[in-house]
Amino acid sequence: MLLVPEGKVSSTILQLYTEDAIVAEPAGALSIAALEQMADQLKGKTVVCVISGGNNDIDRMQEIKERSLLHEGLKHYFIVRFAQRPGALKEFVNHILGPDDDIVRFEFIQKHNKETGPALIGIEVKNETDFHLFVSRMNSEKINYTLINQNENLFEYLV
Amino acid sequence: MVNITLNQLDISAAAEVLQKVVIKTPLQYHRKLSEKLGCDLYLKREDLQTVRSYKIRGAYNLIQSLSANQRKNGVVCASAGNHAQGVAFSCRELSIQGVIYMPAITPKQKINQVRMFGGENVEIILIGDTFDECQYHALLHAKNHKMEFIPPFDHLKIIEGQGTVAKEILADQPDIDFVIVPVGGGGLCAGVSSYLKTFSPKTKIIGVEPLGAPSMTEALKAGQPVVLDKISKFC
Repeated sequence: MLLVPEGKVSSTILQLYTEDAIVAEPAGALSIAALEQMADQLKGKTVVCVISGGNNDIDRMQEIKERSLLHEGLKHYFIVRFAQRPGALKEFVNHILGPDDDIVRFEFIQKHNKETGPALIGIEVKNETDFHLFVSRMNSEKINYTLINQNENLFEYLV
Repeated sequence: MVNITLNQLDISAAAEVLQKVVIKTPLQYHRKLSEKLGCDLYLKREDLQTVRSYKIRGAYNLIQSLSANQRKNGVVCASAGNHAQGVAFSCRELSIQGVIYMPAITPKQKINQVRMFGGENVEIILIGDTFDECQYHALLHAKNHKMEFIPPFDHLKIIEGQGTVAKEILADQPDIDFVIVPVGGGGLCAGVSSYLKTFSPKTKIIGVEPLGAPSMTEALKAGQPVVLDKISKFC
């Protein structure tokens, strides 16, 4: 038995769709999603993956894409506590954001004290290196932030 | 849980029964993944199956095996997805009445598919917040109306039907080292494993589960079926 994370399954669904025009449902993509895990054993062998079914609701594509991006390390959510002075947000955009980084979500979290309290920010990056550079820029600029991709409770609550 | 021994399963007989209704899906060589992994990789395309999943195999194989009297009384099942479509299709094909219980939160698309496959032969009842609750009502309905309950995986005839996937694979490609299958309830895996154990003993079967719903992995660890505290419904 092998276990495959749902994010990897999502990436596989998208890959099958775009590269092979195969519409696989999540369970249907499981067998192919597991291949990388057992790559060492497969060299020179004959292997059959059963695609069990293709009942995938198009309405789920947004969720599937989101899970895939998170799994590939291309989408990140975090909380930033901006310094309470004018221009703090502008500095963030000018100095922290890289040329290929894209803000896909921005929301002040508190109902009151809007625009001074913490903000939820989601960014999409082109590759994982860009994200590491992004984080190191936040560190060197002494930005007060919390990454929440790995924090299950915070993630479910805020995102 | 059903206790079965290999020699009780007649997958070849099931294949004969299914010939009329099931598509012999292609076993396709996948060049790109083969090159990437340095192996010969084939895909068994059950996504192209009637009702777009292998579930038709087990459902039809079980329902057609019912006695004339059982057929007259009709069948009941509980499912939010592919099994329901398989049962609905079989009911119409065999002119049997079926009552299909689906959880109240089932997406409209799935309900419509079941209606489309079952037509006049199928009544859909939406009930229960969870699958277990829905299944409880379905079992009760079956008992009260003396109808046959069609389980999604835990039945000899279901496993036999799903096992025909392996028979088709082996007919197309007799020399196989690994077959990788998804595991939910375990019906497909049980059928495929049984067949290959007899007719291609060198083939290793790898079952795959989503990380968020590892029921078979945990059951094998415990040596018996277990109840998971929390599952992801993604797959």
